[in-house]
Amino acid sequence: MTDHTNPTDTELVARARAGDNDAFGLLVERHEANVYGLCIKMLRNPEDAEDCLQEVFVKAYKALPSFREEARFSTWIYRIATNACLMRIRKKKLDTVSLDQPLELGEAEIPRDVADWTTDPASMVMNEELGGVLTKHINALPANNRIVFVLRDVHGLSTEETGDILGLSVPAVKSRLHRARLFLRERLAHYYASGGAVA
Amino acid sequence: MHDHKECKECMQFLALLSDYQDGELDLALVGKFEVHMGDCERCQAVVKTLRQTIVYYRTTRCTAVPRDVHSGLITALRACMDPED
Repeated sequence: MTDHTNPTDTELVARARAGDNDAFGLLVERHEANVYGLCIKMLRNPEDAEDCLQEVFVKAYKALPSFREEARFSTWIYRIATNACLMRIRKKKLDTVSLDQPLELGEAEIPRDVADWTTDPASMVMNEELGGVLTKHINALPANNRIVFVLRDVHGLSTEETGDILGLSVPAVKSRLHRARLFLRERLAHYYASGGAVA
Repeated sequence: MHDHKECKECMQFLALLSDYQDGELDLALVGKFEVHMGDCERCQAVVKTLRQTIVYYRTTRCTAVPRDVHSGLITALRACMDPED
């Protein structure tokens, strides 16, 4: 039975395709935080993220007629957002590392800092300083690893969905995710080993 | 405590750490590694700190768009929906 008070994305897409702009507005409200969050993490600054957010939804609105009904709107909008972010990164050369170049983990390949900082009382609190450290570390990841980590571990998408969005095989997603996780874990371990002051 | 960097079992385990974390590891391997971890505090620490790293990053997920950013988006969409306005 259709719940008119809480229509599904599929129902909203069908209404939007039939010319109901309010239905598209509801889709925007549902998905804008995910898209904006992805753009912020990938583009690293709020102005670019805002421009990209607008670009993504304008593109989606114009491309609605080509939307395949069997697809999920959330996956589709993530795909548009991902492509828009990666295109901007390429154009602006935001990464000094090639998008296709594998992440050089260096010392993170073999975890060196293996102290268990999870029992440190300081690690129990998510504060502004730690938030800044997390941002600094994720920004240090090359875009091709960062996008996989953001989709899988920040946004909680499955490996299969992530592969579908990025056009990558499951093993390729897993490999990039593994390297990104080890890199971030090692950076955070250094942060706590150095007393949590500068990482 | 054994030498984590020289231990073959540690290296084998660390290569499969993400699969273990995601619950995608073959059950036989899970059992093997859990036995290993029982004797290896360093691998235990790597597992725990990796898990906490992911937990931290999950909390950084954006849950709301700033009001001015939302307004800008609506303006851009209106211009696209009604180009003559």
